[in-house]
Amino acid sequence: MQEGLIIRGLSAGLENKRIIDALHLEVPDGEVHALMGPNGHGKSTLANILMGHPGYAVEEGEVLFDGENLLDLEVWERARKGLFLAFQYPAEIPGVTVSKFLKRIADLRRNPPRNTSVFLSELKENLRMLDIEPAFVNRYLNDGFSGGEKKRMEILQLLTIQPRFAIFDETDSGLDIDALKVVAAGINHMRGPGFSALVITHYRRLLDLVKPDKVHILEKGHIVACGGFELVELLERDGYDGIRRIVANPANPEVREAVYEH
Amino acid sequence: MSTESAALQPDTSIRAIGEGYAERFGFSMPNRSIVKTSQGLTEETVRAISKTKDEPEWMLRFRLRALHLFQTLPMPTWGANLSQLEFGSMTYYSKPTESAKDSWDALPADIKSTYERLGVPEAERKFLAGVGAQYDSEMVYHNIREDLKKKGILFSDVETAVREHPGLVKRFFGTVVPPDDNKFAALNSAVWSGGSFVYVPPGVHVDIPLQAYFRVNSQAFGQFERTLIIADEGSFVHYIEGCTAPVFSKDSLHSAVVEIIALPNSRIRYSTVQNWSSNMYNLVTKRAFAYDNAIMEWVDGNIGSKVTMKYPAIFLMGPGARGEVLSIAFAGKGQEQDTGAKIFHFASNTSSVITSKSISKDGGTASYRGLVKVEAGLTNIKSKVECDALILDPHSRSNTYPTMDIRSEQATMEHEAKVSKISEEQLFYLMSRGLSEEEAAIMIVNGFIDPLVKELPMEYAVELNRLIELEMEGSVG
Amino acid sequence: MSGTILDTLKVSRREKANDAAALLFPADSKSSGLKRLDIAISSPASGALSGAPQEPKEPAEYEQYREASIALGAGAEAAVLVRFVAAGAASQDRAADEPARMQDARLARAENPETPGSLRLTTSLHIRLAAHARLNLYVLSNLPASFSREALSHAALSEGAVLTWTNVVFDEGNGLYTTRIELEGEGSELDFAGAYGARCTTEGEHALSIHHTAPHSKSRTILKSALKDSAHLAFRGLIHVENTARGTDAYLANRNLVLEDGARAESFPQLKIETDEVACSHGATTGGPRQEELFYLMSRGLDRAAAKNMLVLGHLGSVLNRLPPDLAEEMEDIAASALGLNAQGSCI
Repeated sequence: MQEGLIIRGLSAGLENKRIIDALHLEVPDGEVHALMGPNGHGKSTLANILMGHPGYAVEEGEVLFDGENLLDLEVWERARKGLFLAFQYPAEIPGVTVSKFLKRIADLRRNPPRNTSVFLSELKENLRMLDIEPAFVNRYLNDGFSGGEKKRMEILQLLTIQPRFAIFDETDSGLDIDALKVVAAGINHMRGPGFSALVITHYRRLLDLVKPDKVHILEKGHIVACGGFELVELLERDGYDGIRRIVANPANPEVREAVYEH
Repeated sequence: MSTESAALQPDTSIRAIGEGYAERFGFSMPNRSIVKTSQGLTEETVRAISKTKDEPEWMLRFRLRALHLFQTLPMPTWGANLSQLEFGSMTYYSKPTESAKDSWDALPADIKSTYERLGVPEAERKFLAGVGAQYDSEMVYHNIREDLKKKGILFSDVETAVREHPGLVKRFFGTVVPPDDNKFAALNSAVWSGGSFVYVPPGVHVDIPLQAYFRVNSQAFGQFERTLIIADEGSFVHYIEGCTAPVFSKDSLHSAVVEIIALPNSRIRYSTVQNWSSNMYNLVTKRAFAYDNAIMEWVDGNIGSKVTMKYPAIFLMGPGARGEVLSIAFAGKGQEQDTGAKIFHFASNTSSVITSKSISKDGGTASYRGLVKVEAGLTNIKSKVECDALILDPHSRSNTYPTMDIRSEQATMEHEAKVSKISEEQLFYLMSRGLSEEEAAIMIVNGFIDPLVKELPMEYAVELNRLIELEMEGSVG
Repeated sequence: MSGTILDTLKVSRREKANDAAALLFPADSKSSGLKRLDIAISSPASGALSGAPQEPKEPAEYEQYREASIALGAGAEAAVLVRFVAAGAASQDRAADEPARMQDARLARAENPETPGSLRLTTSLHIRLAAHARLNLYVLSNLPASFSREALSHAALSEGAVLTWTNVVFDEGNGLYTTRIELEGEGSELDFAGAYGARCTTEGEHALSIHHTAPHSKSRTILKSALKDSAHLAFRGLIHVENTARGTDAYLANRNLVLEDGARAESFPQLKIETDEVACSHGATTGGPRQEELFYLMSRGLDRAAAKNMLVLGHLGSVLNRLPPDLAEEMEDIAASALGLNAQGSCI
């Protein structure tokens, strides 16, 4: 059995509109990959489909997570297997305090904290790492949070749940530099054997802090290019047009090592 | 908006409202009826109306059954004060001419002059696809553009439709608002006369509006027109009605029934600018059935009348249907505007929006009364209700009586209502830019109703803003 | 704990038991801590009616009346907890007793299918705040299904008085709850938050009217409900601003969570405004749990039922969290059990 995430021939989307088209993608255990691509080409859709959002339908393909087909599982079963999605727009849940919620989801993870005091010391440590005021945990979950606060909240849940595979859906968008560093610290803290991740982003600045092992470019619902960090640099220099030119001419010596058509 | 700047010209010589109404709308012509029933309502009255119209037997039976219902159904125990309404001293039918004409010149001079003073023929030339004009009990004028006639659109009074299209009429007449719906629907069903019949064939879009203008000329008179609009599959029509009457000392009654059928994928917009005189009881039942993916829109402006009770309703009968009601009410001195909307969700994937704006001043009472109902077992239902009320002085009143009855887990129902006066900050801001307090207040009130006014055709928007300006005169400072 | 605790009343059948309890706080007194006012309701079904003669059951005849009043003198400050307690179960050990007690209630209903509505209970609560008095009031009730209840509450606020009221009702029987609050004094303030939960075929009608008769008074009123199975709520809310109450600032809200098709929420929020210098509004929302919220919670590992339950408790949480922490926790457990969130209890 191969560990990590393997997506094979995935076609999916809305009922009448295919958004993900015969997509292949592999993220082996212990690696962090970046997923980039223009707006509206399916990045967030892919994240939501992996998590099992009921609004999308899968036409064909499979998603193997540690050898098991994720697509057969309910949303919470995927979560309990160790899949985590840091939402681009987390839902607001008024009336449920952050502390109560975190305790609950910590108890659902694979190795729950032994008792409340262990949970509390973990929580304290995580809050310190993410530079979050302790009083924050008395607020209602995401209710009235600023954009930055919501993103920190997602990372706090990441550290609390300790998943095996995490998807970050534009977690860096709209963050100031301090918040960005906090998010990167959270991701880097999780990094290592037994954890892998897919970082969806538009910008280099998060990837500078969380060096990806591989970079994938998603266009029109499938991966058009795949490479190392130099792909990020190329993208920054020449934009998606630059990628398209190289994909169209794979013999280009400058980058042929880095880029290939998937 | 240009109408706002027009309203703010300092030299518009704002007139007192009574005076303004009398000049523009409140005039009357000598009574010229050629057939008229005697005061009061009996079986004889009903038989006389039916006989004058030379109706088929089924319609007479319909009327007589309705008369019985009218006599047995109770007066509404809620809503506006109707205790001064005297059914016995009213005239229920008055026929001014022999038949409806399709040319203004063919009308008797006094009737023609009435509509000219009201600006109806001019509006027809400028921006209407067809016009019907009712004078007391009968439609005296009916005309529709030739090209629309060729597309198969039917636009006539209901009596003509009963004769020429009995199949269509029998299939829909009295099905949307049955005579036993309420006391006033029963009354209308018994003595109805005039009103419009509209049928739009499948796929036909009537791009510019059809209009009906309702004029009461007689004193202590009851006008009971009945309108039936059928939009066949995939069609569109915009129908507008306007209403005025002379100012008399005795009260009159306008009690219409409007039935709308929006067949699958059609869209109907029905706009009303009601500017009855201050001696008019306006008690109207309006209801629409919207089938699969149909859109029904009521735009309901209530400026005039002594008492209005009117709650345009939409029954969302088929999946994907959508209903929208925009309501404006202006309650001035001695006026009670009891208006609102009712939406019934009977199918999944249906949505509705109700927006209501009211203004009360000089002791007037504006009430919003509404209902949104969602049956059990339906999925994906959305409904939103928003009511805004302005009270312009300490003697005026505003009431909000919404009802929401939700039995489905997959429904989202939101209701918001707000009552306030013109904000000091807004007044101060505008006055700091050089406007007088009155100008500022008019601008704010016009702004308040603007989201609804702009849904009306331009001519009506101008008219409504002008009316507001008249109504607002002397209300501040 | 200081304060008045009513002894269980001796009630015989066919006799309408009248009893009044009163809490009085003298002018300018600053009462520390929470005063408790437990109102004991006899429950023949549980056999806990102390001293009551053991006669054959005729529940249809059983009727009780309880009355309590709280008065604060000018400038007084106090916090009071009023609890309607069935069958002599002391409030302190109710949480532990809960499962057994719940079973009792269900049994009572099972044995006497006619019972719901037959144990008639009328409660009456009067509150008067003199000028500039401040009262933080908690009223809690979760009576078993065997009771059908009519609850009358009335509060009057004098000049500058401030009433903060948290009202939590998980009665399992039918109930008519009528609350009338009068802001009679200039500058008086009300902050009322109610939580109501019901399941099975329970019918609850909540009539909540706020009357502003004095200038510059302010009210904030909200009722939140969660309805399961075929439970039916009718909410009648009213803000009435009289001509004498210029400068009124009032808001009334009703938020209903309909958890199952067949549960029904009727909402009639009304505004009656008789003067112009006001800022009055109301809002009402009714709906089921939102898909996006469910998805979010499920993505964190909660199964569908658990996610739904969390949304229910979150929905009521903004009211329950106004209670002191230990009470909030207890009421949350009571909510979970009253709504059958933990074990999918079936309706009898």
